[in-house]
Amino acid sequence: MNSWWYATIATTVVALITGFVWIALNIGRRNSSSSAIKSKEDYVAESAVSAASVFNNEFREELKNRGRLHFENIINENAMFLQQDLRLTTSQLNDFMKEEIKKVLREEFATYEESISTAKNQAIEAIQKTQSVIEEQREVMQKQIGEQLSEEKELAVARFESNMGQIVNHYILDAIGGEIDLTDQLDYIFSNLEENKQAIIQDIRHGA
Amino acid sequence: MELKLPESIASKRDITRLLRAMEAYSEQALQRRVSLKSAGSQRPEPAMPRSLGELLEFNSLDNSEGSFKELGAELTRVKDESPVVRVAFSSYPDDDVLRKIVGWFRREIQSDLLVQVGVQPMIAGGCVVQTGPNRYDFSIRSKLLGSTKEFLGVMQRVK
Repeated sequence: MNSWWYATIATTVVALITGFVWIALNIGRRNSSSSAIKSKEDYVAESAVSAASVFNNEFREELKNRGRLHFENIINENAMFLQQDLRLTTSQLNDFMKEEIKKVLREEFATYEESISTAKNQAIEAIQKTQSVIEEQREVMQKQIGEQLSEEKELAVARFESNMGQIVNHYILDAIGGEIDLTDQLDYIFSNLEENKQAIIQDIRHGA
Repeated sequence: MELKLPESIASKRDITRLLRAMEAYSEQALQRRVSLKSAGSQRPEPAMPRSLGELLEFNSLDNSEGSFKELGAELTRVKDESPVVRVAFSSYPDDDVLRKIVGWFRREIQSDLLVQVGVQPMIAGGCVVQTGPNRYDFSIRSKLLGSTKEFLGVMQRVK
């Protein structure tokens, strides 16, 4: 952008100088026809008059207008270049922002997805662990319950058999109670008395 | 005098009954003698209770007043001082069984031992002997109830 500006200014200056020189030459050619040999002071005076006559108000005004016009053209051109440049820059900036935002969003979503996936895997792992623990506990409990049931079953059977024994004994006692003749029992009674004779004697002697 | 008790006189109650019978017999005998002296008619001789007759015969005594007096004192002494054994059966024993039981006790344990008989139908058979604080259970009930293990063994074999 700056190079264009410098080039424009340089071109303008060269054009001005060229214009001055051309005008000066034209004026010199006009004056040279009137007098053949002039002195240096004459030339200087003539040049001063010529310069004064050249750089009159109209010339200045013309230069100003041309300069203004040229400046405006340059300004317009530069403005156009600036506008194009700005548009380009804006467009590039938009594209860059879009890309950056896309990149950031992509990264964030990737991170989010990764964290979700990690959480999911951890949850699955935890659930699997819990499941395996529950399974183990279930097996242990099953075994314990089985053993307890087996023990209780044995106890119940033992209790039943014991009670059954007592029930049968009581039935026998009820059935035969009073039915057995004492005469038939005498041998049994006497054998028991004989076995415990000494004890009975001791009881009697010690004051039964 | 050393009184020998026959097997028919087992318990204190028997002795009490015997003493009453002796008293009644003595009274009747006295009245007979009195009536003979005063009215000249003779009352029939009073019937001697069998237990009294047995006792007199067992001890080789006669039915005189002196004998009765001596016998009465001795019976009272035995009733008050002799040791007592309680024997329970499932049913009341007949005389024969009772005599055998009493005979064994008097033969093997002590000659003047008194045996008080009771009934406990639930023992089913055998007997239960109580000598003061000690109890000897020879009943069938205790045998049956104490043989649950054998019963279980039988059940196992039956299975």
